[in-house]
Amino acid sequence: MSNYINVPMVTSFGNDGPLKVQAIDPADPNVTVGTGFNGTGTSAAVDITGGGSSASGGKATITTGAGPGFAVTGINITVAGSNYEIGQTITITIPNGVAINSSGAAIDTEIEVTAAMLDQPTNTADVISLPVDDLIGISVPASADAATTFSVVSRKDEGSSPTVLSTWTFTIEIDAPSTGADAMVAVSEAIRKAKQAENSQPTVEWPAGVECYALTLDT
Amino acid sequence: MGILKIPYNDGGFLTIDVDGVYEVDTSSAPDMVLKTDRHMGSTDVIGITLKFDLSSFNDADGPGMEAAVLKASQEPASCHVFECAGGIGLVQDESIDIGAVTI
Repeated sequence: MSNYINVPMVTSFGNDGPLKVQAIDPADPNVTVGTGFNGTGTSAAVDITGGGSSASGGKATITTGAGPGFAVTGINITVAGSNYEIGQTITITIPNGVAINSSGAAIDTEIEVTAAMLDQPTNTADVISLPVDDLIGISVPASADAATTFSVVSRKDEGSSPTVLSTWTFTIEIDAPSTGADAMVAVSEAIRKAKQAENSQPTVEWPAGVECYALTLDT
Repeated sequence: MGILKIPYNDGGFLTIDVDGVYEVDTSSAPDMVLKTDRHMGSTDVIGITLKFDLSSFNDADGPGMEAAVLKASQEPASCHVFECAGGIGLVQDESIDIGAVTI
């Protein structure tokens, strides 16, 4: 007997997602670089604002070149955050009083988010089937409602290290009205159905707004 | 194969597989530790630590879980609901942890 659950996956974000941690070309037509810098260097990572009603958590740095002009030569997304919407504008604000900006005012660099700026999934499968016979349950993380990753733990060990249990890690993208906790309940419910019915393959019924874009067996 | 559903404060239920559970430790309320007979090293076993939304257990909660585990094991296709006295379920965050616990 071997039971599975089918996990619907997404291969691309249609609306929003985490930003890709990458350099963005200041000459990109979707970028409006800030002006008025008066120092050379790279800023500390600052919070990214905007990007949609639920966007949060992203950080970026701005790099300026030599004077005169101190033009922006680099924009680097350093923390992905989540829920950045395609077509929305994100703002990277370098405050006054830092090495590259003592102009007396904060300087904004604005970027219109494109699909290429999102950290699109590497997953190529529409559905992943997960064996459930040895699964014990979900390890519920801290801040469950906001959790974008959670793990299902198996009683099988990893082999190379007998004190470490195998775990399947789900990575999800969450939009309102659902939460990470809702997603965990959905997975738990599918596991329950599979365990109760031999040779069944129930499908995880993701709540509205939840997209699973990575499901990996930890190594 | 035995499974139990436990109410979750965020709504719905979370399911755990209680195969091999031989002891229910309620000595560290509000954590209830279900120890299984699967070794993880010489002094540890796989444990399922459940954190309930209360500060102390009712006298019946530990025996209630033990009875629920035995019942689940005897009824393979069942999935009974376990809740602490008063209908108390799991807290929202870190409510289930699965890993090594001391025998």
